[in-house]
Amino acid sequence: MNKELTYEAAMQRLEALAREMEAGQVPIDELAAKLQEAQQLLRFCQDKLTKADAEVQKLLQPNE
Amino acid sequence: MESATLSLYELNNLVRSVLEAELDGEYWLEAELSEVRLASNGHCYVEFVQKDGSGRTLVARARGTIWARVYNLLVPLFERATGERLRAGMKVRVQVTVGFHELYGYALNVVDIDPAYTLGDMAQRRREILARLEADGIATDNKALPLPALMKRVAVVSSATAAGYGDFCDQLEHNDYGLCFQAELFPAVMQGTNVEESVLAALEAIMDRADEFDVVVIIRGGGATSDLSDFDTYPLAAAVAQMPLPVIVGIGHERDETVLDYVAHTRVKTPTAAAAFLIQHGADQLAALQTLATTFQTLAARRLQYQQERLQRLTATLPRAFALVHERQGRRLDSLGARLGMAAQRHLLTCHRQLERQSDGIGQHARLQLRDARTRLQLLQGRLEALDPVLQLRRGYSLTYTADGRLLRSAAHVPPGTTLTTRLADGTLTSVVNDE
Repeated sequence: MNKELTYEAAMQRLEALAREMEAGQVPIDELAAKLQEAQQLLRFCQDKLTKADAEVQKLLQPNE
Repeated sequence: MESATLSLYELNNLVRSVLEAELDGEYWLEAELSEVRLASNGHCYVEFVQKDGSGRTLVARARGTIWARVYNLLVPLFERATGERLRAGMKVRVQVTVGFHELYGYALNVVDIDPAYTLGDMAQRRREILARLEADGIATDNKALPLPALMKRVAVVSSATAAGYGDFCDQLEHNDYGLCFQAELFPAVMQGTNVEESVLAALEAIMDRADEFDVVVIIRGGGATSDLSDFDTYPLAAAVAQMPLPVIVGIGHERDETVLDYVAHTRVKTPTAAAAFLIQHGADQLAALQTLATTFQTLAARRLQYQQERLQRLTATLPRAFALVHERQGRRLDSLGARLGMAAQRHLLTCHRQLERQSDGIGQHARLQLRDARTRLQLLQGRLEALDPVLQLRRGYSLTYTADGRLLRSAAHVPPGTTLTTRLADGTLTSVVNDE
């Protein structure tokens, strides 16, 4: 997963994927790939909410 | 003036008796407090001032006293009503008696305070600040910022030692949803005259690193009544309004509010409420993600099922379709075979005719040649016949030979007496030449 990806961008992509699937526009060949992408994005977002960013932690440590 | 010299006490006593005689009533007074000091004996010593129109120059000043008995009765009511402690800079409306003491001089004894006046004044001040923010077009800048979906990196402006900050951090850390927050403290003085300067410095420090945070939280802890109006300053309100990150303020009082409450993105009552706000936001995001996950599962399952049903339908119709195809192809093959046969026949016929035509041509040619040859032959024959001497003889011509058998071609050189033999068509005739 892209390192530059932001939570907002990931959410937008997820919404777009959901719309695409709701509209039945996803070819069956791509369904698995899209689902996998969605799962990765969901995990990414959940991690963003529930896990510490390693980089930020590193920045904060000298101050603590 | 011819009078006895007075001692200071006697003079002061005189002033006191005149004052007490002339100004023996109670007066309502509007003034600004320039000093407030609560002594250990429970009495409160204040100083009242009045400034000129510019607000810079003092035009009047008087000491005042709120005796402990009055203080304990009035001031708690006042502070509850205004959310403010009595403090320097505050405009008050007080009821006083005028007193003069030989040792301590002129002083006003406060017997009543009007909280409504102070409230009105504070509200007026807030209104002025807000009007100025609006005139500058920045009053709603922070409110207009969208709340980021992810509010995780929190810049906190608070006093490091305040209980409220500890509560805030505790609550963020031990939320029920397993949310992770990264709070960084930008310490500031949250009480007293240094509030403006100190909070401004903290906000500037955050601004320099704005891209490292999602949200700013300004909190002030502790349940004690404290001076909210320290936050009612234009520079502070402007700084909050123009913060590039959404600002959440939790400095409020149950009843009262500051200009920061108006300009900040979100206002809450307490630090705990600020934490709850952030947690709720995160929880909402988690719930949204959960909904999305379910949506994906449902949609994918539905789509797969649909495809499966389609496949099954296809499987069922396949044999029939095959049979149909088979039949159609068979027919096509048959018709192709027939067409091929016919075409071959036609081709053969054409070849045959061509051959015939060619052989015909050859015969014709040969015949023509033969005819030509015959014609030529006849011509030749004719010519040959014309040359035949017998035929010439028959026409009357004759051939004359000398005795030695030579054909006589000329009359000369034939001496008389020469015997000549003449050949005619039906026989030979011998003659002798006479004289010429």
